[in-house]
Amino acid sequence: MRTSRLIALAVRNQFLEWAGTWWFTVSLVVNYAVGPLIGLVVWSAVLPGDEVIVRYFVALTAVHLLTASFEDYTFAESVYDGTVGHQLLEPQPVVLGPAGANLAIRLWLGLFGLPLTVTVALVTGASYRWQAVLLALPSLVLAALLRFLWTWLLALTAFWTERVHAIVGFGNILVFVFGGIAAPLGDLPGSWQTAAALLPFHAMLGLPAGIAAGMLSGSGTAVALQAGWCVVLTAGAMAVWRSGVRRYTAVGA
Amino acid sequence: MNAVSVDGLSMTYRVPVREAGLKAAFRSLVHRRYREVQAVRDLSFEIPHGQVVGLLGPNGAGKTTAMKLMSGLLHPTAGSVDVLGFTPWQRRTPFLKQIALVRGSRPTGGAQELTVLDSLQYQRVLYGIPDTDYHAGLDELIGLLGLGPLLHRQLRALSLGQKMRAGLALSLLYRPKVLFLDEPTLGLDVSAATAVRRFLAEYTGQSGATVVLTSHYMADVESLCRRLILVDHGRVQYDGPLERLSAQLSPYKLLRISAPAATKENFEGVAEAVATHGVSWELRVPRDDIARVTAHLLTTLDVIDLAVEEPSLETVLDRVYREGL
Amino acid sequence: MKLLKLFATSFSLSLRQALTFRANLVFDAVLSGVALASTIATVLIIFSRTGRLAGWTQPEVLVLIGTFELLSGVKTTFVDPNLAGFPTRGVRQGQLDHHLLQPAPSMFLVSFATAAPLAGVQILLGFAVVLAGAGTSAHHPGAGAFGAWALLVLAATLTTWAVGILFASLAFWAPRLDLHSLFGSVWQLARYPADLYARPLRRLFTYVLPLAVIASAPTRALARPGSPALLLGALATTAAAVLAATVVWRAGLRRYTGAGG
Repeated sequence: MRTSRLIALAVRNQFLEWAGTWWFTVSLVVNYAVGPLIGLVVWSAVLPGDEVIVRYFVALTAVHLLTASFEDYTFAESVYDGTVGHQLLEPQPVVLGPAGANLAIRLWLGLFGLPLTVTVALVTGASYRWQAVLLALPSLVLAALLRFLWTWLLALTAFWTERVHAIVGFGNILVFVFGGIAAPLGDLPGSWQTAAALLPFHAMLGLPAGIAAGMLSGSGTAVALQAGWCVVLTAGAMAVWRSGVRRYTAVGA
Repeated sequence: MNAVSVDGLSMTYRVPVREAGLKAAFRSLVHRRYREVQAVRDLSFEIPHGQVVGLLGPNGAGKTTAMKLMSGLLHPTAGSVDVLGFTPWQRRTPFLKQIALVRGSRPTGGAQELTVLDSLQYQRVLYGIPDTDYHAGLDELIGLLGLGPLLHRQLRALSLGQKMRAGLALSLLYRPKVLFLDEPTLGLDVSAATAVRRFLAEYTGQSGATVVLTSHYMADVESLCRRLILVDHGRVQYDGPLERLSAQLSPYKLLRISAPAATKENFEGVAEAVATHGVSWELRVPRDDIARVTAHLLTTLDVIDLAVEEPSLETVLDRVYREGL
Repeated sequence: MKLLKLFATSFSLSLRQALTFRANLVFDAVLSGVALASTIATVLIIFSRTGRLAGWTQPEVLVLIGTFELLSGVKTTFVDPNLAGFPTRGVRQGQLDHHLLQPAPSMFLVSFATAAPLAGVQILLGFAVVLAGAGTSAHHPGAGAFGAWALLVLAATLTTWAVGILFASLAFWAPRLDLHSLFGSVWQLARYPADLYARPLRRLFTYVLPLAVIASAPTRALARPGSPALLLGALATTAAAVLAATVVWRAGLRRYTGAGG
């Protein structure tokens, strides 16, 4: 299929492009690992001896790395410097470029970050049932898609405003609070817990980690909800994209 | 009294050798190999106060390195430089207040989000320019450079030509005694380059500043400099007046003649025809043979018009750059 | 004196520039507020499950969060706009050359050429949280405690700047290496009490990368006053960091200008 070939090509190119800057990849790994690791330290102090919490935050570190999204850099900057104009003229959907870059960066983050996660798991003695990890995989794939769609949606605001980094920063705060980094879903106060379970942010991050840690029972509905959010955000991103391009081609660059 | 004197100046860089391939990349992590590049070797010249000198040479000749050494950005491996009585690379405050380096590749340094006027104000504080001098100097520069409409625009929003004008204003605001101009018209379109040239000619005439200028464009040099220093492979290859350069460097002159009846055969064994347009011919003739060849052609052909010219500086330099002296 | 004037000039120019975009001001203020609210919410959630965090009470952690927010504000306002991207902008694109030829110390010019004044909102918000935290504390801290806090905040500011310079200086040896974002990530570790971390990490954050003196030390001085050892230790760390930054910067500059090395 042509689309998958084009994505594979974009991934390959971006993967090679990133090979020259291993130190930057390491910075990103640290950047993405530090939030969940602080959560691990804090919540281990709050609930000493709780093995599930340790398992959850270690898994969360891996999920955070594997769902990392930087469309405010890979895409929004191309709106600001005008190169998106070239991309619009190419005979392929523009989203393929950022999507390829996204996958390539995640590959690199996984390559450097998973050994780090395994080391943390060994040091903290976190151990997983393989059934739980397998069960978490479909939800991880959906989380990865959802996080990309969310960041992409926010990055599209670059067509209207220059403050895209701040907007994506705002989105990341929501992911931080409701996604399960600040606290595991079960430790949020009552009404927050309900809100967090329904909003898409927990589905981007905490859900697969919780399943892998064996924390969540009846996660079937949560995964269904996750898939539902994927559909909603895809539709949203398509609509915003269309009106963004209309604006771009009307205003020019 | 000289404004700039350079004596036996040499600069050697050590650059890491990077081989292609992943294996070599890993090897270089452990054991890095270096190669020495001599950018400038044994350069010596003196520039009196108020002189405008063109520093010429092909890419990689060592011009920019020489400029960096004279302005104080680099420390040489050997030799000495004296600019206004200072050793540049010590970068003493009184020295820095009297010189400016303007580079066409990056005309404006500093914070790019500031407006031109803001940047000028910052310069005033940085260089401690008294109020009266500031206002007078500013008005003059705004007039000469046509900066009026640009004052409230951010540096980063300016076009290259506008940036160059702003960069010149920022550097000349504190009236430097020595001005280093590195490729000041780089990448400018014809009219922007002309504007910069006209300004520089006017400014140097008025201010009496000493100027060292490098450029790839002959027009820059021809319109501004009486004296040329030609650098190649890090060495001075010629130092003297502009007019003598082609006489000294080119063993040929150009002979243009218009002769309706002439054919190629007429020139065989006499001179080398390098171009022809209709009835006019362009011949390359060794300097010593000019009289003989001219006489020969006038007797053998029906000549309407004849002129002897020095080859253009560009042609001469092109040959020197490619073949050496 | 001249440097102070220069700093004031460049800051006021940046501020004037920033204020011309009023929508951005509102936007950044709101964003700073939301970010701070999320941090405070996290603290409240944590303390809904426990009475103490590594021996720290809720008011103490609030003071810590406020101090951290204030210092983050200082970092984003003054340090990041200048030192992040120094390897690219400064060394590879030649802005350092520009500063080297200006008649003021290069370390000063590189550090204070510009600023992001809108991020300064964060400084005010952080200070408000410090006051709120100190107000709810069981023992009300006196003027002496606030004095010690202010002194250590100043020291922490210097330390932050020095660490920024150290990270930036790496570019003299490896121009492609830009580790400022790494500094930003590791910086987050200072958000919570240094006592949370296991002993080897705590040592690392005290002696190698002085994160422990950044927010934890001033907070301690405010919350549990009367420890000259803490005060002296933190000041000594700052002095060491500034000295190291100066030495490394100079060595890097010598290398950059080809003067030996």
